[in-house]
Amino acid sequence: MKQYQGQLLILLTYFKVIQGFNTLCSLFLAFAGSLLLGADSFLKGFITSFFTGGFFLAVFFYELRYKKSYYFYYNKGFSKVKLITATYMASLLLLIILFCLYKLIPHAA
Amino acid sequence: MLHELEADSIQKNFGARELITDCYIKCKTGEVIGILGRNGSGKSTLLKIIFGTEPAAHQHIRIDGQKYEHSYKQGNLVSYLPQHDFLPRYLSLRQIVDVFVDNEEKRELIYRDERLHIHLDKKTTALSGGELKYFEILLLVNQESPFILLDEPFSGVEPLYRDKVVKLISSHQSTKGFIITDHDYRNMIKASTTLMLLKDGICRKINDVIELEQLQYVPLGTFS
Repeated sequence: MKQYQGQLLILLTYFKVIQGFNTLCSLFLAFAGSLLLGADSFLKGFITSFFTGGFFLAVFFYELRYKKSYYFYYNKGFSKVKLITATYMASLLLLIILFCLYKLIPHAA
Repeated sequence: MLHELEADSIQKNFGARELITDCYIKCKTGEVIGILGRNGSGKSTLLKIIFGTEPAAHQHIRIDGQKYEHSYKQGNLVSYLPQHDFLPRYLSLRQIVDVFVDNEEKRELIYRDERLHIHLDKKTTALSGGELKYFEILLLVNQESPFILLDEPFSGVEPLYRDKVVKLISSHQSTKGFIITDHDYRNMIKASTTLMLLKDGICRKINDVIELEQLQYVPLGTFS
């Protein structure tokens, strides 16, 4: 149990940095998109970017800025592919949870 | 518990150049294998191949008789100190210890370290080269892995911390096996139980330091 807790902490460390970058990138891309397509497209643009371009830009920035830190994760048994896949899947899971919560909230017609 | 790591038949080419052609290394719990070699002889590459982050034309890595392609993916078999700093610069020392060291008692020991306790809330960028290397090695020896690979643990480290690194290795020698590489042959001789020289792609066991002169690794008269 403690081992899984440790692995989760390691993943969370990577997740927080990647999603920090990703959020900034996606906000910027969604803002740029809304200037071209209208303010209504902001949320859709943000979510699309968060799971596509923004995510991969974040991984790319991490590679540029903190490439050496991957050895921190290797030493705990995480390959680069495993880290990126787990972070992406965790983000998808988060989206599904948020979507379900949104659906549960009663909306005014 | 006694563990055994064997790296056998390692071959590594860079284009047409054969960097490592014939290497056999055996390391048991309690042993410190010191690998010497000139710049570009393949010492770091060899450690990365054993760790599993560098592909090789041929490799056979066994730990306790079990073959591994990427030993690092097991998470608790081999720990590796690269030449460069590897700790995330966006975390404080305390956060790094919390995330990296699973055992609570070992975490407490690191928090109380006489050299590091005053820096715990700083980021790694606030540490000197020696302090950082010492902290990195301290983290690695406090992992559950029975084998530790150290690539240039004395490089860029002030003399005080070189001594501390040697002491750190010897204090964990009874429960771990170490494979280390460095150019600082004096500290390597001090820390190692077995010395090897990687030259022309071949790992040679050094039985007497005089052989380092004969193999032209150190100037004549260094030991004689």
